[in-house]
Amino acid sequence: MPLYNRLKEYRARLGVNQQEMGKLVGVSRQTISLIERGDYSPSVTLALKIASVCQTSVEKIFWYEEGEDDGEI
Amino acid sequence: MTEKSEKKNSKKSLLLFLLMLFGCMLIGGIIGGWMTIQQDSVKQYMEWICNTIQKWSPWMAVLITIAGMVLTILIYIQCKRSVDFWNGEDEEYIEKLEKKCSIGQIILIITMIFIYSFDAIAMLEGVEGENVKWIAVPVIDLLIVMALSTFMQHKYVNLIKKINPEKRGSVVEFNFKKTWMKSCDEQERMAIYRSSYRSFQVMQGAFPICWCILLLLSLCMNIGVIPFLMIGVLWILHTITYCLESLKVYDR
Repeated sequence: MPLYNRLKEYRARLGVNQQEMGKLVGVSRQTISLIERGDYSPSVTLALKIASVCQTSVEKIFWYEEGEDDGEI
Repeated sequence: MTEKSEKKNSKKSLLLFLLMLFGCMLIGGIIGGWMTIQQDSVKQYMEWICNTIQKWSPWMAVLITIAGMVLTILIYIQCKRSVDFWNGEDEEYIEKLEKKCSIGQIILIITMIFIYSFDAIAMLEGVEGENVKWIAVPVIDLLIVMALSTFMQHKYVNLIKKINPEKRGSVVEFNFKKTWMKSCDEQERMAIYRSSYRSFQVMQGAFPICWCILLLLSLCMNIGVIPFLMIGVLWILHTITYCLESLKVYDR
């Protein structure tokens, strides 16, 4: 997965668990967990929402590195 | 990838495809030829398999009902107890629990499919043997399974809703799947779409295999036209639904 993130770190700063973080951005706990593990790349809208809740920019939470994409279904 | 290597790969793929096609034709020809020569013994063997399944189907139906339902209820009880012990923080714990919940639901669905099949065969046994007992047992079994499975599905959905409070819908509600889907977020919808596409791929492979098996069987015994018609209808329905839905997506 070429998309990396610091969501766990930012969530810890906010002092909320995955369930609460999910509620804040309007997704499930499972989605937050998958994003943190790097198993799911959020949409631009969701990334913006997360950044807004964390009161920072998207680039500070998410960054992209060239690599093999597992786009296979 | 350069244009030259792409062309080389394409040629290689074509050759492999032709080889596979030839191999399949050869295997099909050999099996078909063998089945025609051994027509009587294949017919006898197939009839023995069908009769055995038909004879044992009422017992199988009852046995699967008990085993499947007991397992589903036990998993549910375990999950429910575990949910009560969740502190709301331990992420690994709840992920394991959600997986267990999914396993319980899968067992429930597989049990239902088996019961539908075995109860139908059991009814056939009762009708053919004019045995009222073997008509009544599968009907009662089917009614019990339908009631129990709806109840258990309701229980599992409520448990999932307890873990994920954002989820909406009730099993008994007419538009349950629609309401549930609406309460899913982008990742969950993506998971559903991915699973659906995988299922589409598997079914597109399963239809021709079923058709081949039926065609080979028809060489040595009378299976009638209904199996071919059913495969055809399902195959068309499956393909057209996919194509129409794809067109709709692009139209949006």
